[in-house]
Amino acid sequence: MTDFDAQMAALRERFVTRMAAERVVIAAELARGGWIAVRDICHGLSGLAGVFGFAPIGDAARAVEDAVDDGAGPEIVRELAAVLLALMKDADQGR
Amino acid sequence: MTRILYVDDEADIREVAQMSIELDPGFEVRTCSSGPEAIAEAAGWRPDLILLDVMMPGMDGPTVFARLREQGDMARIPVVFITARTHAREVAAFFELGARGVIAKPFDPMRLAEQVREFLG
Repeated sequence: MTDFDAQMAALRERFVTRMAAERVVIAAELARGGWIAVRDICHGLSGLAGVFGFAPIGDAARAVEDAVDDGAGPEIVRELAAVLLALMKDADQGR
Repeated sequence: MTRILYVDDEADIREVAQMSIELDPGFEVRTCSSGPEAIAEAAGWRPDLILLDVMMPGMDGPTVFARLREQGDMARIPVVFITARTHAREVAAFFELGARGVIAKPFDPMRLAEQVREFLG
């Protein structure tokens, strides 16, 4: 393993830990209607998840981000977020 | 050394981008987390290329780009936008602004240095 590979592996592990924490925050913000907070977390995830090999999570996060930006109703945002949260949970359990 | 300034509000992606670009030993990378910081860094360090995230809080990428274009010799620094929004119409708009290019987000860490090299011609 090269230094770069080792650094990427460490950053990927840190990202998975971050996702576990953000999963809790997203769920809480969804429950209280904190759409902008959900959107901002999803924006970060959408740009980063694919870099670490979690492309489906990035795509799901972008779908939530776009839904909030487009003014979609709460049920649509919650439905899309449920997909995202399930993928994030799988990633956490896959460690 | 070729100087690359990478601008993104997301700390983790700045870290990955810096590591990735510096896989090419000909590149020296500095990073900034906001538009105002990037403008100040560009004025002092004079990078050869700026990689600029489009969606940032406060001052977004296109606004940073416009500010750079207003400021004398910084106007000549080539700028490549980094964005998840790569529909043809959006990419065309970046080129109309005068961008050197567009890199899709998420980027491939193993290819980023090569992409940067291509934009430097």
